[in-house]
Amino acid sequence: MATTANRVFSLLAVVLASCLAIIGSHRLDREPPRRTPTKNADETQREISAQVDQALCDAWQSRPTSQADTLLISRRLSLALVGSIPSLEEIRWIEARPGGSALDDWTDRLLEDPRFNDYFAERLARAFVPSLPAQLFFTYRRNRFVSWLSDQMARRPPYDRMVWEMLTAEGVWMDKPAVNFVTSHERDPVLLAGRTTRAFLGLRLDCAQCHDHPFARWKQSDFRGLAAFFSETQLGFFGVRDEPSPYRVSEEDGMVGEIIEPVVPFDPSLDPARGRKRERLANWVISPSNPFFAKAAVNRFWTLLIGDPLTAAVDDLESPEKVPDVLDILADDFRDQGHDLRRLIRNITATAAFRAKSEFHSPEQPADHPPFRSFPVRRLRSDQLAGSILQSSQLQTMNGGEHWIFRFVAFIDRFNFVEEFGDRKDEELEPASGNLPQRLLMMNGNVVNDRGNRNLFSTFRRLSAFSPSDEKCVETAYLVCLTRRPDPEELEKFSAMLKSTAGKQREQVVADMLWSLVNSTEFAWNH
Amino acid sequence: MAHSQTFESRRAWLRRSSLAAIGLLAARASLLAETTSAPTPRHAAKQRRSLIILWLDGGPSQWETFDPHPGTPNGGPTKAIATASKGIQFASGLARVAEHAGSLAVVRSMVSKEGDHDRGRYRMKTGFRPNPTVVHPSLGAICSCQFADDEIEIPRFVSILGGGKFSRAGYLGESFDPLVLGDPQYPPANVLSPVSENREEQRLRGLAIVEEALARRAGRLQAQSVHREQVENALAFMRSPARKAFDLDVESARTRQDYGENPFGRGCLAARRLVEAGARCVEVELGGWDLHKDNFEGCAKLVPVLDQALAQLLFELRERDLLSSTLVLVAGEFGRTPRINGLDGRDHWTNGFSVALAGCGIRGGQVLGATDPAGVASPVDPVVVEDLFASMLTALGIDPSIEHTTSAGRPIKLSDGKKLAQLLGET
Repeated sequence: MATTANRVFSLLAVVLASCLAIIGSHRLDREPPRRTPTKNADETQREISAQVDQALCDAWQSRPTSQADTLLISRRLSLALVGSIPSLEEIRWIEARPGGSALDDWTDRLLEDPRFNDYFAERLARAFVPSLPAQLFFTYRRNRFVSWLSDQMARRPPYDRMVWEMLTAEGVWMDKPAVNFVTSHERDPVLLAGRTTRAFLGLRLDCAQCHDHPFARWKQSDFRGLAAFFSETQLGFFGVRDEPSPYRVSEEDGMVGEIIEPVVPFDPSLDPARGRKRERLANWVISPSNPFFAKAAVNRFWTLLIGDPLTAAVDDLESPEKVPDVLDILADDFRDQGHDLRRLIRNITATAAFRAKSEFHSPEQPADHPPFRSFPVRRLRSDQLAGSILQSSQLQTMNGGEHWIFRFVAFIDRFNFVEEFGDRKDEELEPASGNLPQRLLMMNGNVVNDRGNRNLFSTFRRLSAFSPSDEKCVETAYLVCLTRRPDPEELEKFSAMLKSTAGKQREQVVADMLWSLVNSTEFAWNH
Repeated sequence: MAHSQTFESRRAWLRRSSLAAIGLLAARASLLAETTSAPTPRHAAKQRRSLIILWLDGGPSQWETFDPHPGTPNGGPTKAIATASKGIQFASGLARVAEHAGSLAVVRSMVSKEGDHDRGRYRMKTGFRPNPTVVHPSLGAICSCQFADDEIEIPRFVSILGGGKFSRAGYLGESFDPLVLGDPQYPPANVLSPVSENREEQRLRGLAIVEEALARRAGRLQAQSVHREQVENALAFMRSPARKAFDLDVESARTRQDYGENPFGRGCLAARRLVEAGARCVEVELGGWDLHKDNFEGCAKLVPVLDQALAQLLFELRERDLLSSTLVLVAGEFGRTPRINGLDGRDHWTNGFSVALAGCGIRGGQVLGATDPAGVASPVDPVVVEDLFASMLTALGIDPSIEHTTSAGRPIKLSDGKKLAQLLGET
């Protein structure tokens, strides 16, 4: 009895303390400097994609390759924006669009889909905070941060406002989730400075952390000056809070104890040089005159959508640009039109690069193949693969609208699959090689083979029972798994397998056909 | 250096993939041609070295295993026994392992700064502290990568019972990730086709239909040949006689009993079989060491399991002449406090804990470092994790200073440590 009372009291004490901490942590919320878009947004959109296409054609010294099939581009859009292939229901919707508007309509619909917010929140989190456990409550802090990002994606503040918030936020981690940008980096000025330049500016200043590299533009003093902006940031009872304190380097290289003043590595005129150090840094980072901020965002979104960065590495804008001008055109528009992420996505997905066919591409013969003239062929990530397998086991769209039991089962299936397949976390934008356990999981694993056994409404029973003909059955299976129709030879061969089968036997043939489709190259790669 | 290394790895990988291809769709002739022109592997078979890691998850108590201090205020009820090596004592629970002390080198003065489980696991499996900008490969993945020239049909790196969470290959690339297994008394997950042979034939016929259609449409697509190779590798493994290495039923009931009829004992037996079949690293996990409460009761259950399996493993490796080429490491993420807490448990401790090594050039019958039973003074001759890793890599014939370039363009050495000459018997 006494222990129960004790527990209740200690719980109350914790709740009370948390409330106090949250109330205490609320200082006046500050706002970044506001800017208004300069032109009417809609009018310029098409113009921008056309400019990008022109720049691409100039780089290729030829006209774009022919555009890929509408359904194939729809598949790319779904994989890029919500992390799964389109459902049969969605395919029918796309095909019912009036001529010419299908892809734009489909892009708009995906950008309004609640899955988009969650999916991009996770993608951005992987760029902004580490995935490895760093400290106590790390996973909770990270989850809180991801749901904050998702909320931001839904509420659509300008991207620069979002970044400003992350860089400057103060408060308790549950109450002000943006502070988890700081807590996830252990409040360490070195880690924070490295992340800030890589994620928001596409610069690798952290290479100069330990010493100067010959020929490199950035010096160790640049990096230390930048790290000094995070020296005030403390973590205490009131959460993350800035208290004036100098930055001292604590390396064992004779510099111990030296106070480093916060100095930005370039364009010092953009640093207001007064106020909280983190606010000064944030204002400098997001300044429209900072040449890197908008470009870094464009390069990251281009990579997320198309699979390859516009420069040699996604977080290195100083590495060679693959095609001139494209980055500038998109970045200027992004900045001038109010850092609107959805507009940026529309701009990129409307380009010839996103809509081009995929072609023969081999590392041995890159010279005769100009970058982005064809859509890069990339292995699906584990989350995309899981999403696509689960989607292909249903005919309706799995977008959170279904009964919670189905949602729960799908969540568990997806989680288990990603866990077993392996999540590349922070490395997800790097080309993947694939391995034996992954292939075995695809061929013999539960998620692929149980698909079907779970409930009556799964694809193979419905296909087997309700298709009006063998040909229709094959066609639907192709649409559900590969988002295309079979070619005549495929149709003929699979129909022959189905011919005059019935009952259990027919179900097995259909299930095996679905296995073949899901285990094909086409299913496993974005193309 | 850095570039040549990554390039070499990639080329080796490509060569290996094409060798393993058995021709689901491809013409066999071209593949056979490649086989004959393939250069000899860098590591000849006679030098083949392997690694077995017995991972004691949760943080094993050094007090109740390799570093007992009976009769001291912190010693608890644990007794010490003499071992086959003069002057070296183990906790009495390790009576069978004590007979093999002549093969074992015990480092009693490991120091790490990572007292959190996950950070400690990362530290002790990769040799590096967690770093938000790069994911380091585990020691097993390093073996898998550096010995990538092997032509074996079973995976080079197998992780048994632990789930393989901190055993991945990080910047080396996922092709060097481990195959993850549960209790070896069951066949490995996903290795057997869940359908009949007829249906599997039907599935593969169907797959060929889709793949041919893609080839008609897209021409020679590199992605397709990579994909095809992986399907073929998977099929080769599913049908390979080498898969018998996973089947413990082949072993006599007596042998299985000698290892212990429990998951860990079976894991150690499987480890021996897999190393015989050519695997380069096998990791077997025995969990449950996080004994903040009732440490002595908990250890009374766990230590005998370790004792039996480890002793039998060392015995069989020696008997089969594998110990000279197989490094055995017994370790967990950290050790436990000298102080016994109010719940009769011991808490996390990183300032002086034990690991044990044997085989592959490790000089047995010795102890490195010593700890203060009071837990006040720092350990004598402390050994940092980097130096342990540099020593193990050296023992395995891998140069710790080999550099790989991460995807972020940063060159990283396999280990920044210095090898411990005493451990390797070089002094």
